[in-house]
Amino acid sequence: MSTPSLPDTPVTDATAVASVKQHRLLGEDQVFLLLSLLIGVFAGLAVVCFRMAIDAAHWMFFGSGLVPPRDRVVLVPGAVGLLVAVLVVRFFPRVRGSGVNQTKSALYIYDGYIPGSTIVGKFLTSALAIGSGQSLGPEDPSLQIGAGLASLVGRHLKLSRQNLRLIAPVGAAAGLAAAFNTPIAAVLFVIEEVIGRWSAGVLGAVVLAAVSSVVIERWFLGAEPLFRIPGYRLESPGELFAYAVLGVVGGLAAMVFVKSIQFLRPRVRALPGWTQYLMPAVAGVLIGLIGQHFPQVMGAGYAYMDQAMHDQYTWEVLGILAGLKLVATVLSFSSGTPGGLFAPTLVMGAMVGGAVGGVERLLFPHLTGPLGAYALVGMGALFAGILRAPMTSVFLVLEVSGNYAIILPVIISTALAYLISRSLQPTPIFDLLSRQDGLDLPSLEEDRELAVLHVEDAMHAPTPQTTVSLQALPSPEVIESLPGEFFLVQDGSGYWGGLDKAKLLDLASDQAAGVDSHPQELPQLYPDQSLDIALRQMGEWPLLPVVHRADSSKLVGVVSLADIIETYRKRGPALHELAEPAD
Amino acid sequence: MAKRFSIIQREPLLLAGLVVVIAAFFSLTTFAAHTYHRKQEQFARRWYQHGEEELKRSHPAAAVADFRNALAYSRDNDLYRLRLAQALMADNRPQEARAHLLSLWEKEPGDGTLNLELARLAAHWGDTAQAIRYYHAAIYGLWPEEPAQHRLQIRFELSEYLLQRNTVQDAKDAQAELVALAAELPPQDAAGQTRLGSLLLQAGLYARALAAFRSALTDEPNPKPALAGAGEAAFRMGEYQTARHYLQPLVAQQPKDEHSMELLDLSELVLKLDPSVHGLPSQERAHRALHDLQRALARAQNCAPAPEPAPADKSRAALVQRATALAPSEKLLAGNPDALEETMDLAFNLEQSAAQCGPPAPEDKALALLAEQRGTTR
Repeated sequence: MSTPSLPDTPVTDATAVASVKQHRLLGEDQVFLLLSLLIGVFAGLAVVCFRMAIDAAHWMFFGSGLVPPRDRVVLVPGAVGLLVAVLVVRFFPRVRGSGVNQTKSALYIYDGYIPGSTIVGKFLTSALAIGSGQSLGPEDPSLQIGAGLASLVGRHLKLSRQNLRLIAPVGAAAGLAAAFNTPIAAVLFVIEEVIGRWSAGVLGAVVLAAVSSVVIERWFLGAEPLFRIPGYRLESPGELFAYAVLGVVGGLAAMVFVKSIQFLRPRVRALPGWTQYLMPAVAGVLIGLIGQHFPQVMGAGYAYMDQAMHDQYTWEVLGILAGLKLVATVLSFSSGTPGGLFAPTLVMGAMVGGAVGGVERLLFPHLTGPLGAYALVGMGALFAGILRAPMTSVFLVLEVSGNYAIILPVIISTALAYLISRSLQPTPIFDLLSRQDGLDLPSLEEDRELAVLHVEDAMHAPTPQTTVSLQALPSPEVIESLPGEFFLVQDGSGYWGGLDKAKLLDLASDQAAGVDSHPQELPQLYPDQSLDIALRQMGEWPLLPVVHRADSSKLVGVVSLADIIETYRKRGPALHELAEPAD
Repeated sequence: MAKRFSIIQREPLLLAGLVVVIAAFFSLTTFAAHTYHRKQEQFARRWYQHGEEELKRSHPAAAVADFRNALAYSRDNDLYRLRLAQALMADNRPQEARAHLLSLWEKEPGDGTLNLELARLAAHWGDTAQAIRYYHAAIYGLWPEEPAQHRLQIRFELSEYLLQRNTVQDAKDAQAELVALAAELPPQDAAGQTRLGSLLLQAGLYARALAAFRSALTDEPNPKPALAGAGEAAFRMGEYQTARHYLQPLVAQQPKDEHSMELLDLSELVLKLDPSVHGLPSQERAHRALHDLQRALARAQNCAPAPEPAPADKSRAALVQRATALAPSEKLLAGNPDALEETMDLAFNLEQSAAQCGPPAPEDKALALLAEQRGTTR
């Protein structure tokens, strides 16, 4: 950006800002996009460091083997749990939980503000917790770290309040994209779950940030997809039934998981304050006890997902692992240990998918799909069922596997899991958590599910007394006798205008005197338009014409402000009526 | 003025500052990532070496765990994944091995080693069509070292697998593979020729088997297997003199080889009983023919009749009656080749009709072999 030449006259702040706006090379929107790019790079670097820190912690605590040494498997999660609890309670109280809701809070409550200490705290405590074997993942913390960095940068650059609010989700998308190596899924998740709306500006910024962060992540950690499954090809459409069954099981498993957190988390939080120092340690010890026999439940679990996808476990073992991972994750998460739900969700999905696939193959040996395909589809099903972001789930599976052939099973399974989870557990997990935390964040799923009211729901049929034609204008006497005070007047070209009774009388007098005059044209509505548009168009007009889309001269109804309000009152349930209690 | 200047200047300066911070962070991350990757490589190499050592010690289960650890640090290392798959196979976990092999195969469908391992898995599961497909892909696949040697070994393996299957189609496929192998195998490869000869013998390609054993015998340091094979191949072909030629020195060297000894005895008996041996005087031919008929007649007469006579018994009785009535003399047979032929036919028919009459004596076996040979030549 260049520095424009300055006039010598003294200026006020307002004039200076106006002058700057005129002279800067880039507008605020362009600066915002450039910033998104830089934030993507920044977040990508942070996430790369975060992932390396988790691995370093694991090596430090357990050595380099996948299976932790037996003498440390209980001790380490317990001891590190104590340390994490002290850090969280004493220094970083905002880093509890996954990070998704915290980012939403920043967007909707704190004008995009995420303190710098949260970034440091999240990085440190999550790396310690996950590295020590807590059953949590690095993705949601990465999302929060990205959002935090974006917020920090935005504050230093003194962005406008509106852009400061938006910059946090942009950073969140960058963090998530780098954590998963999945730019599309990250963009979709942030749009689906955090921002909740599509607009060119937001989308552009989010995409730029996600892409730049993924470029950074791939530069440092490699471009290979997260998982590589053995070759898959859908041999017969009948096999889709097998995946549909997986969707049903996935939906049920998701419901069990969310209900478990819904039950346990508030009870743990209700315990006396000093117990907060112990909870992560207790969870760690319990997970360590499970880990003595099933080390697969410890940590994020990506290596074990890869094994599940390569037929390394029997269906019985996969079933047991799915159940134990669920228990371990509920324990870790409910204890308030910082860490994410994404990776455990995927691990559970892979195990459930593999188990269901194994049973189906046992019952129907002609099924040709490899167990890895079931594991992959199971990941999508659980993701959709638990996190309730169905579009993200589909693209996530495609991106983490780099395998497009799996799309049909994923769509079927994901859709079923989502629908079943939704019907059995109406409140999505992130909404549930925010309500448990006493925050009233908007539920984007509930927003999506709200019935959209249309103009046709509010309009009523026009009466002959309220519509007149300019060609056949009644006499002033007749107009005087009409009951209404406002009239829709159609001119010769078919357009509808509006006049009150006095002006209509004037118009009739003008016409009688041979003066050519026209009523003011009214905004036109169509029956399929949303009532929101009708409300915006209404202005000061008491009545608006609703016309046919193919023939705007044809009046299909009229709508008034009172009609709109009455329709909202009758047919639009309040959000709180849709939500179920947090506990 | 200064305030206004700062408003205009602040944004680019802050952006530039941000770029500087990012550049510094990038450098820091580069250093950290370098250390991280080096550590990962160290771990991966160490676990891989552990795995190799465990495999050498025949501890495949421990090797599996080690290779898995190695793979966790180097996910895209195809060698580690291959060794993991091989360790899993050695640990008798073919299902787990298959998934890794298929992952690798997706990347390198023309790789010889992968196709060979997949062929072995398909063979393990009895999926012959798939096994043959992978074996052929392995034969024509890429082998970075000694490709010709690998191809020969895989053809051997495929042939052995097909012969084990014991079905008509698999036997035909095996014969085709062995013919191709015979064409590719260098004649000076004595061990290979011996192995090939054995397989050809198993596949019923006796002439080719004999040729292979003969090749092997030219400079085979340990000729016993080749001698045994050549003797048996010649025996199966009905070339009893050749069989005796190979079997005699073998039996002299290893008198405990009962199978070879039996073949040698039978060969000698056949040669002793056969009236059609080239160069025999007519008197000797007649003597042998008469001896053969009497031998067959005695076996048929000694055969205990079934409680309820079957058609075979009736036919045998008719043959006995005919032989008794014929009673040719040596003189007649010596001067009349047609009578000698008729006598031998009768002897062979009698021997065949007595096939169900208890275990045959060596002479009966020899006569049966002569009958079989005569049937083949006719």
